[in-house]
Amino acid sequence: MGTSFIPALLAIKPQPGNLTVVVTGLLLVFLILILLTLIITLQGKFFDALEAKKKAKSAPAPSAPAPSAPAAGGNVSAAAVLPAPGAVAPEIVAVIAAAVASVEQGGFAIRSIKPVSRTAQAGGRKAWGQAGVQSNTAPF
Amino acid sequence: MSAIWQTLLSIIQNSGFTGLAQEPLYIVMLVVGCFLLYLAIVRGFEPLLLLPIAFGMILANLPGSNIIHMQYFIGVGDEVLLHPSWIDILNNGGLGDMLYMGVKLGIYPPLIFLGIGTMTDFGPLISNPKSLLLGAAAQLGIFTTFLGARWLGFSGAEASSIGIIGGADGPTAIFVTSRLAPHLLGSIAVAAYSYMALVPVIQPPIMKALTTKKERCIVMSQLRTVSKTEKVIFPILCTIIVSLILPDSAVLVGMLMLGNLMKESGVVDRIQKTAGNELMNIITIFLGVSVGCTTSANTFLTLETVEIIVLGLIAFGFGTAGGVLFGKLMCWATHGKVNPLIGSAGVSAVPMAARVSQKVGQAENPQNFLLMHAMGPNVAGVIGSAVAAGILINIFG
Repeated sequence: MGTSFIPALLAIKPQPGNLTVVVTGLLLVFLILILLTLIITLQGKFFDALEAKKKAKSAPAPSAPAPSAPAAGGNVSAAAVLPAPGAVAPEIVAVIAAAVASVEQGGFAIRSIKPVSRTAQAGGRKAWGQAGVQSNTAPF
Repeated sequence: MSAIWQTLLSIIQNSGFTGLAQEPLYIVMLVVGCFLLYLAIVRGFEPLLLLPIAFGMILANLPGSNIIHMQYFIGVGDEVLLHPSWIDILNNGGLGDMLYMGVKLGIYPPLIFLGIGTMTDFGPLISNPKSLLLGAAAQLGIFTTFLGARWLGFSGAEASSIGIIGGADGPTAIFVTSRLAPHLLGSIAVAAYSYMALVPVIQPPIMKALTTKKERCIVMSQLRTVSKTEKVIFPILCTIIVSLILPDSAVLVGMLMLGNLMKESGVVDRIQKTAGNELMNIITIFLGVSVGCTTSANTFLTLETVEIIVLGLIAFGFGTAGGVLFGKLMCWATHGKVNPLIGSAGVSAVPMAARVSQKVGQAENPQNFLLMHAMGPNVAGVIGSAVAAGILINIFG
């Protein structure tokens, strides 16, 4: 009761040849993943097109006014900051000034803050991105 | 006095030492179990699975423990059970029998895939869909090993289970083996997890042999950023398409993508955390112990186990080679934009294989960061091996 056995289980279901299994298997794996590749590529193009439309619709960002860097404690001279025209937001200037003040504990004057062009950097990455990649991959 | 002596004798006769004396091969299995514990604890070989597997092996090979009765699941000798004898299991089964039901019924591997999905980032794959092809190419290991196993005399179902080792995916290997060749489960699980731990040793020589220095130094362009919407749509789309084409892979791919959807949607934080942590840990314990319990001297200490271990190495080797060679093809087709080293990451030992690609690439060019590029084929390989598993179950199941 509760047991059944099939002495020759394999004889009931015909087995395909070895080469058939290998060729069919590899072919199917490739076909399914090629199909997925095409669908994801199309999805990516669709979303890229959507993003491009959104960017074209939104107004261009206004030039940032010449910011006055706040005296963020310490002895950092704030009067001499000369940002590149229309490129650096006041908040970023404030953060940079505060970071310099906290690290260097005063005695530094920020003369200029300007964005570095991406193409000038290694691997096309922003400095933070590069630093992040380096710190994440350092153990390997 | 004689009553005390009789009682003592009875206890001694029922002790495990008598069982060891009657069947000395148990001692060998205990030594093998201790060796696997050494590998797991001291050498750090996939300890999360190998430690419970090794300890399950020890528990099952202590005579008289009655922790598991494989004869209720797969029969004895030439008697092959079509279905497990559930009444015997429930009436006479031990802890190993109860835990093993989750393996036999195909519950644990999909739930582990659920947890893996919550920890997987398909971003690198979505931003570079061609990685899926590298994941497909790396499944060459599965099918070449299938051929090798057939040549050695294994049946189609057994050869499929052995071949799946090449998918470098523990849950997939256990899922397929528990359905197609449950008597080989212990050997295949031990081989699969041991080789996964050896990926950093097995892969680099093959990668270096099949690529030129110039190819290894290729720096790939930065991946595009993937929006959250794309990351949410991907698992849904993938599940529907793959499951419609290949229903046998639905449960593995579906659970993987469910876990991923839970993570990417961001609206089910509580259950996502449970799936990836507590649930996965519980299932890992149950799976490891029960799989370890299936190893007994008569199924493990055989020539078959040695052949499985050799074939497992071939599976990993051919999988790596398949991925790297397809990577070279893609490199040629894209005029040098793809570094062939990322092809080896199609062997879906996540994230170990991707790290190996990163290391080998960085050894040639310290400025080369291939890790995120290699993660694409790495996770594609998980999908690829689940698809291959579905195909083999469809043919031989």
